Parts: sequence; structure tokens; C-alpha cells
Amino acid sequence: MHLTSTLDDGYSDFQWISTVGNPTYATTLGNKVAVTVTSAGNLGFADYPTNAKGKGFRYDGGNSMLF
Amino acid sequence: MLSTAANQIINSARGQANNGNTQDKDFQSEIPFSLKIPGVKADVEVYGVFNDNLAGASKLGLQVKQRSYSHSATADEDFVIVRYTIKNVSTLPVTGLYAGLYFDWDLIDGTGDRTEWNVAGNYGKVWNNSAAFTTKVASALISSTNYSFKPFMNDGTAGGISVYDGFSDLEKWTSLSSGVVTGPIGAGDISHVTGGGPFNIAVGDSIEVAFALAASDDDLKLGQAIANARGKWTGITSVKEVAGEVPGTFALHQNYPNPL
Repeated sequence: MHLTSTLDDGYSDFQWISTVGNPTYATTLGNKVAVTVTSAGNLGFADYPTNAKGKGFRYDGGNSMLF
Repeated sequence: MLSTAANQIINSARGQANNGNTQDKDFQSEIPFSLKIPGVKADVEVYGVFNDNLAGASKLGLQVKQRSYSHSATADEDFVIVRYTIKNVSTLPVTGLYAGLYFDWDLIDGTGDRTEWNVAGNYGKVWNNSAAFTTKVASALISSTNYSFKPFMNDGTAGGISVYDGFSDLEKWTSLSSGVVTGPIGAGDISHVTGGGPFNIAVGDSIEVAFALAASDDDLKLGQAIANARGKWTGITSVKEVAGEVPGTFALHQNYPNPL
């Protein structure tokens, strides 16, 4: 996303903001258990076997315990 | 995973090709996931909808609303509820349906993990032999009592299923439909399927299948987390939902007769 800011004195600048459109996964972060759910119907990661998209299954801030 | 037979597997678990380094993708997203904070029934809720349109010949005509509920209160901070509302949108009844979640656990690095069915609490538990690693995890069907649990060693040396050479449709059917296999299995590189069934769904009807996923550093707290999740599930389903997540129309009608 390209974000342009213009001040009253005419000064203008821009910055690029990275966003994910129409996300295919989301992670529950409401308590000590964090689990990623995906639009493909699975839990853990949205890109098995790379396992970079998502948090997996974590407890109390620890590492993922899946795969 | 959803299935009515060994040749009718609908899933997004690991596949058989390339020694399991691939994922089956039988589900198609209808509504992308959205987070609701705070939610209606929990502090954090996730909602999305998918169907089985990508399952080819295995397609049954199912639409699945997936929701998750996370509660932040101390008594409920060790579990998440994942809820699947499965609707039969086909023109034929669905009979003998099994639903389950496949987990390949590596609590540390894939060594030393053990799993078994907790008979008293009706949940599957995974822990590690290492005394230094105290976190244990549990999963349980909480929406009904027709439990299924199938543990196995990933190399096939126990449990009769090997996923090192891929996870075949027959193995998935076996893992879903074998009832409760108590174990224990391990120590080693382990997996299990936690599920339930069989379920029947009439045309146009739907069923609720929900699981609790819990973790704790304490055995008693782990079992309590599953029990608390079952209590929450009762509360979640005691409030009848209005059809549809979002109102379809808004209308202002004449107020007649005039009450004044």
C-alpha cells in the first residue's frame, strides 16, 4: 500500500506499508493457547510443509509444537 | 478431515505424494477469516466459511462454518474451542460421517513425545519424556460423546500407520473410524487423530462438531482445562443464534395503529 501524507504547508511525503489482503489464516491470541486456523480448513500453518504462514500451536509464548 | 468411507476422504491434512511433503486441499474458502475482539461468545473469536468443492469425486456437498473461541479469564486461559458447523447443501442425505483433526506433534524436536487417551477425562494427551520440558497438550471432542482417537508412531512402528511415506486415504479413514484407541504410544515422533462420529446429516440440515485444544504445564490443570471447555461449549450452544452472521436487510415499517 502506498500512503501519501501532505501537511498544511504543502510538504508531502510517502511511505510503503506492507499488508496482507484477504488473509487466508488467522491466529487465536486471546489467551495462553495460540492456534492458527486457515481458510483451507486446517490448523497450524497455511503453507505446509514450509510452515511460515501462521503460528502453529503454541502455549504461553513458547515455540510451535506442531510438525 | 471429513469422511464417510475410505474412498470418500475430504481433508486438508498432509497428503500421500512426495512422502507426505504435500498437503491435500479439498476445501475452498467461501468467506475469508475475520477476527472479532471482543467476540459475542468469547473474548476473541475467529470466523470463516469453506466448502468441499475442491474434493473432486469425494465431494459430499458440505459447507463448513468454522469458528474459534478464546477466553482470557484465568480459569479458561489454557484452551481454545474450535467449532465446525457442517451443513449438508447437497441433494442427498449424508450418513456415517466422521470428522477429525490430525496432529503431528513435535513438542520439542520430534523425539521423546508420548500420547495416550485419558479415559477419565475423554481426551487425547501428548507429553514429552524430557523432565525439563513440562508443557503437555490435550485435544477433545466436546460437542458429543461419540469420540474417536487414533494415536500412532510416525514411522509406523506402533499404531499401524506410517506417515513418513505419506498419509494415504485408507490410513485417514482408519484413523477416523477406529473408535478410541487408548495407547499409550511412544516415546518418539508421534501423531494422532482426535475426532468423532458417525454423524448423519439430512438434506439442508447441519451438525455441530467442536473440539477443545488445551495446554498446560500441569496434568491436573490440563484435565481441568478440557472440563472447563466442555462447560463453555454448553454455554455457547445454549444461546440460539439468529440465522446469518450479518443482517441481510434493514427495514422501517409503519407503526400502526398509533400507540399514542
